[in-house]
Amino acid sequence: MVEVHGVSKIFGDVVAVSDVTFAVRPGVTALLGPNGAGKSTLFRMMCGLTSPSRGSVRVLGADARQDRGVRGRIGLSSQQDALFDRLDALDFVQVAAETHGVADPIDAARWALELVELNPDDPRPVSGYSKGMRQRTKLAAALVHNPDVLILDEPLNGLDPLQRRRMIEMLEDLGAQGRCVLVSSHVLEEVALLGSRILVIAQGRLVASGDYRELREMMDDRPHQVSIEADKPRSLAAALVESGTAVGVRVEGGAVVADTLDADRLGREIAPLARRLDARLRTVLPLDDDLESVFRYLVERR
Amino acid sequence: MSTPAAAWPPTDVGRRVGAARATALCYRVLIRQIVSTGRIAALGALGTTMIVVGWVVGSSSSRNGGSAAGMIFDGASYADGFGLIVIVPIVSLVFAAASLGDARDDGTLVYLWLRPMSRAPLAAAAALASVTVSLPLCVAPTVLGGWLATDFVAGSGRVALGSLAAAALGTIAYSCLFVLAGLLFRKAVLWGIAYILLWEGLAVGLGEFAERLSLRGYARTLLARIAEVDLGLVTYRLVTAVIVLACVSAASLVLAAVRLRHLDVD
Repeated sequence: MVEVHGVSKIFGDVVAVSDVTFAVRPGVTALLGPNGAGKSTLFRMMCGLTSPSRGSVRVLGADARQDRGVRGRIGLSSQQDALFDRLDALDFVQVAAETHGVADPIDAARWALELVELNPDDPRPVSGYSKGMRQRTKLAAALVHNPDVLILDEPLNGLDPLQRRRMIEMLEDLGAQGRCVLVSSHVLEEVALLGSRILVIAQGRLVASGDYRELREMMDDRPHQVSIEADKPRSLAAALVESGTAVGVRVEGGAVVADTLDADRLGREIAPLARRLDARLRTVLPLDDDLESVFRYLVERR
Repeated sequence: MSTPAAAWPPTDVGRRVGAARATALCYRVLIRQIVSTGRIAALGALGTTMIVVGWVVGSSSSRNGGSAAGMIFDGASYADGFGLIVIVPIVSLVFAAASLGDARDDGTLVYLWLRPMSRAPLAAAAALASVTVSLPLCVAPTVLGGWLATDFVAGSGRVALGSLAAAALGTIAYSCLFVLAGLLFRKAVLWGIAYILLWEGLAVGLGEFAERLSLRGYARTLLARIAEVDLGLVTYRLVTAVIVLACVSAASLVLAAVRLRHLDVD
């Protein structure tokens, strides 16, 4: 549904996006990367808001900058916080519906606002809304015309945990309906919760792609850290090094923190080692199995 | 947030919005965005000042026994010197540069740009919104100020009519030009003020060629021809002035639409 081929974007001396190629199919796909990585620039190119300096971006087979029909099938919630501040939420979303040619814009706007749990009859202008409410107003405007491709730039910013969870459920539902839902985030736990395909963007380049498990598999050659709580931690630490299971150890607050190149082997051998030392194992916990560690590794490896 | 699932309202995805409908929609949004109490109050005060000063000028000329022809000349000169040089370009600049320029600067332009619409209606709507707000704020003080400055002597109606035509067509032309400026420059109001002061105000005094490139010269021609007053500077045929102002307006809108088409939107 979205094809990005050899795309670069250069602003003066700054290379915002460099030779990025990927394709996005229906379902939820997350663009993950730190602020300034080039995620928003990629989204802008997909929507036709700016042209690539090199390469091509096709959405539903066409260039959104040139093709009016395709623009009508994209829903964008941009990172910009600005809305038409003099309008109330219903007016704002209704304008979005009308400018997309929706047949019954008022009903559609009410429906979209209720979908994101905003009151369509709230008379306040959106300038009086909290960040979370503005975020949901933008999402309603992006959804109101039933788009095939939904591009959401940091959509979870400003939402409380409950709203965040509900938004994630809704995005998963939209993806399951066959829509192409692209979500950017620099917050790793958000992306982990989405359970989606992940494109990791850093310094304008695509540094990795796949689901979380695939990204982990790409990292098998890096040291992993495992925290082991057990009796006799110093003896256990020495035994781990002696057996070659760990390449480095330290004892922190009664727990052994072991660096290993083969987490599976450590998992297999830790129990026999503890038994031999007559030490009781309490917990064995990977310390770097979260997406933050994956992300840090992928970015810093470059 | 509930699940959208099956209850999606009926929509015709990929449907395009026609030019007239798109213009009306964009107009509705933009006019609400550019009108603010502060702007209306400040520019309204400027217009009120012109009217009051015009009344003072007319009253004092009358008391001093000025001739009818002299008072007609004073009225037309005042409409030109205050209305066409100051009020018309400044008021037009404030609203026209804001119409798309502010939307571009604050990032809201995307909500009108990323739509299945062509670009020309957006440019036209911006100009229409600007003209709607600017016209009464430009025409009323220019006509009333100029007319009051004549102290209603015989023939003062011609000054009022000339002021009306000059202010109205001038406002339209300046508005279209400054809509384009809002898309070309960040901080377009500053560029516009520099243009008004340095070009329309000073450079036209450099000679006939420079004046041919100023909107003010054509707007003033309307006033001078209709009021039958020699304002002492270059004037053109009435029809020439109307055609030039119309062409500047149309060309500015075409260029604004082209600019929108190639614009990088934040």
